Amino acid sequence: MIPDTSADMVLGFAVILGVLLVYSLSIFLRARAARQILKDDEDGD
Amino acid sequence: MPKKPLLLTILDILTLILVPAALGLILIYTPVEVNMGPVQKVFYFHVASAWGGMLSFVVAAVTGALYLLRRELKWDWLSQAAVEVGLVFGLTAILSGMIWAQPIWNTWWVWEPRLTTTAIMELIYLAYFILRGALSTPESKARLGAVFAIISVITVPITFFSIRLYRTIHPVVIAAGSDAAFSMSPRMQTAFFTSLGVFTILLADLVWHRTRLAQLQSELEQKGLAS
Repeated sequence: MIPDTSADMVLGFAVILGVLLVYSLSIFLRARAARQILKDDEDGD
Repeated sequence: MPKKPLLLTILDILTLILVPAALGLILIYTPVEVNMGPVQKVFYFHVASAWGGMLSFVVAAVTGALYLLRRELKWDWLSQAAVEVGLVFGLTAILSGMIWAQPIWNTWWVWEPRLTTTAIMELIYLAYFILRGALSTPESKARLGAVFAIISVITVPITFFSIRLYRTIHPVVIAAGSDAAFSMSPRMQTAFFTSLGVFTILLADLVWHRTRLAQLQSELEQKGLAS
């Protein structure tokens, strides 16, 4: 009989894709914050 | 900061299409392994993550060497990007491995050669950012960071070959004939190599974005605006 490890499979994929998604978002947010600081500096704020 | 290149936009779109497609391929197309059940399917992304992490650390060493040879900051941006993305891929490989191990080995973690060397590799590359944070000038960060990335890359072959050199319970997937932990059917092989390819594209995309971020951070530092 094949063991039912479906919940572990879902958890595994959720963790892999979740970590990659959060990391991608962190790059986007850090870049946006850096661009904003540079823009404010150019505007003379 | 230069405009976003068209190739990077294409890479973004490709990644957004290919990652869900690879997941669909694994969930629908591949058979369920009889001894482990559905959790075995995590292995396709688990191995691809580990491959991505190791490849990224090799890229960090090569670009670190290029920085030392040419003293151009763009190689340092690429090197630090590769280390950071490699750490994230390594982390996903470790976490997904733990989730697979729990029902299969009946424990989350075993101090066996592959897991131990992977943990050591991750900790060493984590120290890369501690080192950079302790230095004050961009040149010293780039120079010592490059040296660190070159020396640390020795952990990649040690980790990769650990399951072949020592007695271990970690499955050996890529092996000839009966040495492999389980025989992959043609469908499993398709999903396996597709996942490796897709994660390589995802890696390239993330490293490129992170390199552009490093360039922005360098501009902030030069203008004295970095926090």
